[in-house]
Amino acid sequence: MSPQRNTRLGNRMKENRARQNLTQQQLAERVGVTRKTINTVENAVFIPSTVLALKLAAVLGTTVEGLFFLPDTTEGKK
Amino acid sequence: MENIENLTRRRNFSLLFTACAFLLWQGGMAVVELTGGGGYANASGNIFVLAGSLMWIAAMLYFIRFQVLVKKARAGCVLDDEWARNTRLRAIAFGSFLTFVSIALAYVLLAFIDLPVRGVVHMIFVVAVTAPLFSYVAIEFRSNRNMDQG
Repeated sequence: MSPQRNTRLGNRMKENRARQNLTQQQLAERVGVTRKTINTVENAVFIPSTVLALKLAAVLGTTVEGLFFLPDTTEGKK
Repeated sequence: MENIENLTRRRNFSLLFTACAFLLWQGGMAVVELTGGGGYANASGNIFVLAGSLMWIAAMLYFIRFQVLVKKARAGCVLDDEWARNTRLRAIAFGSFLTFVSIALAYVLLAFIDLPVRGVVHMIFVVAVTAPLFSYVAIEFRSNRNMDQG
């Protein structure tokens, strides 16, 4: 895989959030960030740090790999 | 107690207000220095300096009030989250770029026009301070517009 500038990070935040019955605001409060951070991560505008990705995965009851993927990989096309 | 969304709005307002006050206050001073004594531009510059300095005092009072609210809500860490840090870095990068452009422009301009160097340096200083503040608020406003409800 060649390194790309502005690689987008796909995510399954919305589905996982819905499964846990959480709003963006509630999720933001649980991980200790603003709703804007959650919104921008969810809309693939902002790539979170490893720490935030781990916190999000823990709150949403999944793994980081289950939550985030590279859109151009087979994992992302599932 | 203030919620985070309100505090974020207050922060943006505080930054915008501070940037406008500084632009009027120090920009007015720079105009006075550039135009020398007398003239319409000089008189306008003095009015800007007066209005700007009063606005600056108000902006500082608002900032202190904002800090008290943040402390009361214990929201310092949440407000300085990853998105805020990322926005700040982008704003500083844009501000630095604009400052370099101003320096380059001033350097070329001074070769052709005889301007008071003190005034030109003052103007660059105003750009260096206000550009990151305005750009931070602009990035925030743009992301607010694109935010969906969830």
